[in-house]
Order: sequence, then structure tokens, then C-alpha cells
Amino acid sequence: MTAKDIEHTYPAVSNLIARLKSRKVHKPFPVAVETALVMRQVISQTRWSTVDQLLEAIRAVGSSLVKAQPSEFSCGNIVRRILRMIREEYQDLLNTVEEEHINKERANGSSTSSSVTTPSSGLSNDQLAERNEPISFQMYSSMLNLLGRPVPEAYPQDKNLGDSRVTGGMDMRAVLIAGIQEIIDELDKINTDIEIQSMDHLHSNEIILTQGCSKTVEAFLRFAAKKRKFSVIVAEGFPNMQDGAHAMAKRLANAGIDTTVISDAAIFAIMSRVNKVILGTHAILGNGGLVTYSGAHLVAQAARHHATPVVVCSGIYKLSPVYPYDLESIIQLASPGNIISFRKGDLISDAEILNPYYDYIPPDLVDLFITNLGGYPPSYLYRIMNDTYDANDTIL
Amino acid sequence: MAPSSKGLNGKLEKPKSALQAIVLSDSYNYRFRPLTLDKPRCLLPLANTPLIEYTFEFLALAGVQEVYVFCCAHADQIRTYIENSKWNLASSPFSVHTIVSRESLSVGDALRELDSKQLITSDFILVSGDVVSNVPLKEVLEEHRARREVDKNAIMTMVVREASPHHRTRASTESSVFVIDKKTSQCVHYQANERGKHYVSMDPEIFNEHEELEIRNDLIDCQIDICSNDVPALFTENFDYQDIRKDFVYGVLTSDLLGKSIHCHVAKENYAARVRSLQTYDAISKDVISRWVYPFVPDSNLLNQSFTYQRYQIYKEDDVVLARSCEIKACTLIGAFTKVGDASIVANTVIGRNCIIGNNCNIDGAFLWENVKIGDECKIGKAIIANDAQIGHKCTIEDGAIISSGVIIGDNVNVTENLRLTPHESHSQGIPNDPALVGDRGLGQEYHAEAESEDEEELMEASGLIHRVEDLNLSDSEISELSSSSEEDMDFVPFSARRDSANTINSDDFDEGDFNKEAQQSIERAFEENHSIEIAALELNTLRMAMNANYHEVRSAIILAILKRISFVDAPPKEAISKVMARWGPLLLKLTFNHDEQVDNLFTLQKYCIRLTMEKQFLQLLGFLYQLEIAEDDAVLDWYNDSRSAEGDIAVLRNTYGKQFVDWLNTAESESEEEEDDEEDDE
Repeated sequence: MTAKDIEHTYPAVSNLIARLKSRKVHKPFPVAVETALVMRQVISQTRWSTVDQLLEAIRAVGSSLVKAQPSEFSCGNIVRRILRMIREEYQDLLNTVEEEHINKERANGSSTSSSVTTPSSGLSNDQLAERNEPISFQMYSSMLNLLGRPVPEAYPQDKNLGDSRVTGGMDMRAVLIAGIQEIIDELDKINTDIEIQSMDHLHSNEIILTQGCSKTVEAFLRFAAKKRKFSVIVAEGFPNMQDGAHAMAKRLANAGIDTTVISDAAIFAIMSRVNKVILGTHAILGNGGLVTYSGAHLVAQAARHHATPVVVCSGIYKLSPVYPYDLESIIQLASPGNIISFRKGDLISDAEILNPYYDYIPPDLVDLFITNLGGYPPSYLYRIMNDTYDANDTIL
Repeated sequence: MAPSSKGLNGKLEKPKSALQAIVLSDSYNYRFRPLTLDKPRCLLPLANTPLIEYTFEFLALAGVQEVYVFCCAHADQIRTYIENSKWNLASSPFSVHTIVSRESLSVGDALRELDSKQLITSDFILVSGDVVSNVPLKEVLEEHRARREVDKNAIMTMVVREASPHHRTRASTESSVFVIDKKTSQCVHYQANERGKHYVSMDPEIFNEHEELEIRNDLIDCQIDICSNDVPALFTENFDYQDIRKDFVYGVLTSDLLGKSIHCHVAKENYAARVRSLQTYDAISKDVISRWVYPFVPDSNLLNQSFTYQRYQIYKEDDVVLARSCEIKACTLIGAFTKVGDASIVANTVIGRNCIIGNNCNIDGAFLWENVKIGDECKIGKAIIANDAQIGHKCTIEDGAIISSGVIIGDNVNVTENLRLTPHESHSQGIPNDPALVGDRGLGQEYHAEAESEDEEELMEASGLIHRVEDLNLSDSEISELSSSSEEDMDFVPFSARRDSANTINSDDFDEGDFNKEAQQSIERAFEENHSIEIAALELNTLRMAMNANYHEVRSAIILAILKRISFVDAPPKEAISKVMARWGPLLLKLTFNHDEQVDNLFTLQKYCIRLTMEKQFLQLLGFLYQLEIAEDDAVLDWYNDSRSAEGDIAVLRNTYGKQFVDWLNTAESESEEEEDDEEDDE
């Protein structure tokens, strides 16, 4: 399916693409929610007869969404989760059908072996002719061979052949839509899942340093502040985050936390007094590295120098199987207007002014991830990655 | 499917009447000729994206739901473009309609037509099709609506971007002055730029009515206006309004009867500019590449391109072929399928798709559109080379050159600075395909602007691609002389201030009277529209009778106007004086009837020269008055001997230049007497 086709078949998708491109939707959370909503529409609109057609359609849509704004990783993550969910639901369906079949066979005794290949749902002959090749099997085997990995659960190949047709019905659609709803619900309560862990990590009379503004970090701190007394230092994250950082500091102070705002230049100086650094993030990459808002690398390096633990609070939807091969394409540059006023005409016509919006923190500078599934060290992320995404979907 | 696409948007938007926007795709001027002979301005590529895309993105950002595009020149092209664009798909955030009105020749005509069509239901956004901006209009719209709730007469909000007077993105031709009430952000006075006019004249009443005023000459006016229904209606009422700024805003603000007010939103953040001239085209292109217009930057790939960003602000699409030894320097953008040859150096350049650049070329600051072919060993400066143009080997293209679509240039040609080449013979006066210009087997001739007036031609020059600050300063230098060493940015401020203080000091004097003001305007109009002396005199006489003034006042007004004119003509003072006096001196003569009045003229001249600090020019002016017999020798002598001329600070002139002149007069007289004597003797 080409980009043109997607535009025509799914207006909602091209609408989201346009808004991603013009940055009307940005930041991981809104992007994740919007992606899930759009995907729900896509699933309800798409017609498919085999699960592979559905997977293909979702993958095509997902790939065009990711291309629209490669730096919004959560978009791709949600697509990958949906792809995995489809596979799992299909697997479940397959298993139940199989069971039924076995049961039936048992009931019928040893009646026929050819019944396996008879179509079980009311499909026309033409459609059948189109599908004389079991795509699902083809894809599984070829892709897995390519990766040189053993087939996770060996399916008897000829059994797949007939049963893949079972999934053409509407029953699966309903299941999938419910599944997406589950993902959305999970997104909604991420902060509550993360904040309850704060008691294990924040102790009385500690000095915590954070940078910029993150809803997750804010919830995390405020939850602990209900019972414990500690102070928070907020580095403002100039030039793109300072307004948000100031607002967050104000909210923290209003919540009764002893809050100090410092400029980014003071980070290193103050680090020796800090007990723990808590950061939010834009995305967690496959190697455990972080894509954060600019300035965070500085915080992490200063923390490393003073052996201060760096804790990252993030929902699992920010975990992306992408590797940071090309840093320049990941670190987007925003308008230099936040650094230097456009009024200074002489200066801007002579100087090159760059305003990197993101920053990359290598994995070795992070000590702990606190996710909605619990706390993990960076080296353990691969496991969650395997649990959340299918290896086939790493590249959309 | 449309409703489903609007699903998410629909929830956010209020169910009020749809927000409408009018896009004027035509600019109603010829500044981009000859490029606009084949393509409308709004479809010219800026950083490989047609200009109108930036405007549409801007409107989408503002949450517009209905867009009407007014087309005039090349209407079919615009219509086809929009029909095939993404804005015509179901996923588009707004619906686009094109309105073709070939008869309209100005913004005024377009708005009058709009009024007659009755398309507008509520307040709308009026922009031209060449606006590049990322200012979120939501707040401005709310501000505007809130004002409308309180005061129905607040008919319009202009959105302008704060910059600096000599900002690269601010057109050098665009030195319009906004006077804004600081508290209410009401625009109380507007003055469009006029060449050589370096002062602002305002109604002193304004100062009484407003506590705090900002007089600003540092704003980029990108003509983003939020208008109410009344605006098109007012255009219909005043059928002579052409320009929305010069005529409409000025007209509304100076009219006592209308009672409408116009407000001004000065955007301090984000980006807003308009591609008004080639110079701003260059500047805005740079702004896009240095990401001021974020998120509307090349690597956002708004048009499904495939740009990626690289360090040093280099943008490249997929499938670009670069020779191993070529060098791509900073601030460069290269479209897909373009090839750059061996050892070529490309810097600060925008290159479209499918271009082929030969070996050993040096390109710095150029704009190459699509399918351009450039031979080996060429040197290209800050020039625009449009679609399908071909340039042979070993050519040099100097700064400011414009090579339109389809021009072919042979080998070893030097295209000189600011030369505009077009393949259309009908728009040229030169020799078709002149080998001296375009080389052997070349195609194209120099473009000749069919300028209707000199002003247009001057504008053409001023709108060239190269922005010469030096040139600007040259024309300002005379002013700097007058206003001593004030900052050039502020050149009009001290001047008007001086005028003001002078007025208050001599408040008992006539010249602050209504008559003087009206007469000044009448004379200035005569200057600008080049009336004949008879007509100008007739007008002044009518005015004199209508306002019950005397001839002294009329003459004072003329002298004042002439002096002002002299100081604002772009020429060395000497030439300026002779030019203005030769043309307009007779007007003064026509209204000077006897000896006493001649003396009176001299007094007035003396007074004004002091007040306008034009002492140095006094002697020459005196000479002209004498020469034109506006003041004969007796009058000069009487003036010289009159005690009033030696009073106070004006005495300086009498004692220096006056004396000089009288001395000369005496010797001349005696000489002529001698001659007469001689003649007599001969007899």
C-alpha cells in the first residue's frame, strides 16, 4: 500500500500525519493516544480476509506515521504493540479453533482427515482462489529464517493452512478494538502506576534534582511528598523547557515540596549535594539510551561525575526498539527564536544559531528505569522489549 | 469519510460559525517579473515548496475551516494546483474554494467582489498567498473577538512581527510606520512608505487622545489581517480604495466620520513574513533554512518530500547524486535526483529537483529551481535560475541576475549584475536572443518592465534580489545631515520631534492653523501627482477662499512645502533645490503680487530655513527666488535692511548668507550700471 493509497483510504491517518508534521501533536503521550485512536479507526475500516492482510495494512499505515515524524517514537511503539496484539489474538483464536477441531475429531471419532482443509466460514470460491497460498505461514517462516531464530512455537504447517481463514470474521475485529481500548486505558493510568513506586525510591531529607518539566516526574514527586519531606531542585532546561520547568516548580512548591529553580549553568556546581537525579524522557531506545529534551545529557554527565544515581521515570510506551544509529536525525532542531530574538536582524543574518530540541543520553549514564511495570536497570530492558514487541516489527 | 476525519478536530473546535480565511493569491504588482510571467507568485518555490503551501499551513495552524482563494493572474494554474494538492483531500483541515476574478486589479477590487458575493459570515482572516508564518492566531482571534464584543467599531486587527528597521526579512521598500496606543494596542496612525519620505506627519489631536503612543518603524507587516464583515463593505463604499494599507487603513484612521478603529497585534515570538520582493524572497528562504519557521522547515517534508537534516544546515532529499570531490557547504538545500559534478562547490544555495550541475562550478547563494542544467566551470552568485533554464560552460552569473524559465545561455557568457532575462520576446525591448547577452545558440532577452510610472520602476529597482544596505544609507545620509548624528534606525523620530517642538513654541503662529495643514496636503498632492502650476494655484485659491485665509498664509504654506520637498528628494541638496525650485517656484510667483509680498516671502523663507535647519541651503534658495523674480533686488534689499530680519536667532541667516547675497547684488548692480554708463558713453 503506497502513501497515496493511505491518504485516500484513511483520511484520519493523513490527518494525523499532517498534524505530526506541523507539530500540532507532539510530546509522547498525546502522540501515543492519537495513534491508538487512529489505529482503532483503521482496524474498524479495514477489510481483511487473512490476518496477514490486516498486519500488512497496519504496518503500512504505521510506517507512514513514523516517517511523518521520526522523532516521535511513541507513535511507532503503539503501532508495534498493536501489531503484536493482533498476532497474539490470532494465536488465541487459532488455539481455540484447534481445540474445537480436536474436540470435534474426538467426538466424530476418526471420520475424515480432509475436513481440515474445508473452509469453515462462508467465503466465496473467488476469495479462496486468491488465497491459495497461506501468507501467514509464508511470512512467519521466511522472516524468522532471515533473523536466524528458532520458531518460537512450532506450528504444524499444514494445520495453519485451513485455519487462517477462520480469522476473516468480525469476531476478531471486536477483540482487536477492545485490545486497543486496553492500550489506551493503560496509557491513561501510567502516571498512577509509576507514582505508587515513589515511596521505594524517595526517602526523607533527600535532595532530588530534576530538569525541565515532566508530568510523570511531577506525579512521582508529589506522591512521595504526601508522606515524606524532601527538597527538589529544578534545572530550568533553557531554552525550550524553561517555561514548563518554572510552572512545574510552582506546582511542586504549592504541593508543599521545598523547591528551588536553578539555571542549567549551576547543575554541575550543585550536583555534589544532590542525592538522586530523577529525569523524565522523550523516548527510551533499544540500547537503553534515552532521547530526552536538550540539556539532560549535561545533567547525566554531572551526575556520573559525582556518582549520583540517575533514575528515569517513564511509561513503557516510550520504550522503542529503535537503535540510535543516526543521532543527527534523532536530535531535531527547533526554531532558534527561543535562544535569540528574531529582532536582532544583524546578528541572525551573520550567525548560525542552532536550537537542538532533543538530547541523547547513552545507556551507561542511567542507573534505573521506573516504568509502569516496575523498576528495571538498563541492561534488563531487552526483556521488556521482547515482551512488548514482536521482533518482526522493529523496522516498520 | 469526511466526517470521520473531522472527528478528532471537530471536538476541539467550537460549533460556532466556521472560521473563514481569504487568500489573495495575486500580489497586484510586478516585482517578481519576469518570473511571474509563467507562474503566479504564490506558486514560486521557496526552499522547494510552493509559497502557497506555507500560507495554507499557517491557516491550518490557525484552525481555519474554510478557505477562499482569490485568483487573478494565472488563475488556472492556481486552481489546478489546489485541486491536486493535499488540501483538496478529505483529510484536509479546511475546505478550499477558488474564486477567479480576472478583472480585479488590486486588493480593493478583490474585496469589493468578495462583498458582492456575500460569502463571509463572520470575522475572517485576510492574507496574501505569499505569507510565511508560524504565529498561532488563536489568541489574536480571541483578542479580536473580545474587542468586538465590547466595541462593534473595532473592525480589524493587523498582525505584525517585531523586527528591526534594517532587518533582512523586512523589505527595504517597506518602511511603513505604525503608531500604536500602548495600552489598547489600537493603531492610531499609519503611514505607508513613500520613497524619499523620511518623516511622519500626524494629527496633533492624537496626542491629546492617547496617553502613551508607540511610533514604530521596526515592524514586518506581513499583511495578516483579521477583518470583520465591515471591511469588505467599506471597500465597496469607498470605490477608490486599492491597497489595504495605503488606502484602507490610512483612510479609516484619518476619517473623522467613520468612527471605526483598527488594532494592531505585535507578535513578539514566532515568525511572520511575506515574500514581497526578491530581497525578502532571499531573506525568507534563509529564515526557512535556518529554521525560524519551525515546524515548517524542509525536513518536515510537508509535501511528501524526503528531506533530511544534516549538520551545518544542509538539507538533502533522497536520490541526490553528489560527486565524491564536490563540496556542499552550509545552508544548502538539494532536491531529489539532482546531480552535482566533480570539484564543484555549493554554498548557501537552494537547488530544486532534477538539476544537473557540472564539474568545477562554484555556486554561492543562488536559487536554482527545477530541471536546471549548469555546465562546467560556471560561477554563480546570488541569482535566481528558474525551471528548465540551461546554462552553458564557463559562464559567470553575477549577483541579482534573474534567469526565467526556459532561458538558455550559451558558453562563456557573463550575465551581469541585476540582469533579468526572459524567453518572452513581447516583454523585451532588446534584440531577441542577442548573442552578446545569452551567447551563441542562447535563448532569451533582457526583460523590460512595462512600468506605468517612474515610481513603479523605482520600486522594481528597490525590489531587486540584492539588498544593499549601503544604498539605503546613501539616501538616508541627507537626513543624517539634518538630524545630526542620530541613529539611522530612528531617522524619522528626531525629525518629527523637532517639528513638534517648533510647533509648540510658535503656537501663536499661523502655520499650525487648519488652513496651513490643508494647504500643505494640497501642495504635497500636487507634488506627488505632478499637477500643473495653474491647477495647483487654483486649488490653493479655492482653499484660501473656503477657509477665509490670506495670501500670506498661502505663500507660507508653499514655501514650507517646497522646503520639505527639497529635503526629501533623493539627490544632493544642490540638485534637489534646482529641481524643485525650477518646477515649483513659479507657483509661488503666481501668488506673489507686489513688492511687500516679495519681502514677506523672504521673511518666511528665512524663518523656515532656521526651523527646518536648512541654513546651508538658504543662499541658493535666495538665488532662485531672485532668479525667478519672486523677490526682486529691491525686495531683497528691503528685507536685508528691515530690522525684523535681524531679530533673534534668525538673524544668523541675514548676517551671513543675506549679506553675501546683498554684496553680490550690489556689485552686480553697479557693474550693470557701469555697463549702462559705458553704453551711454558710447553713444
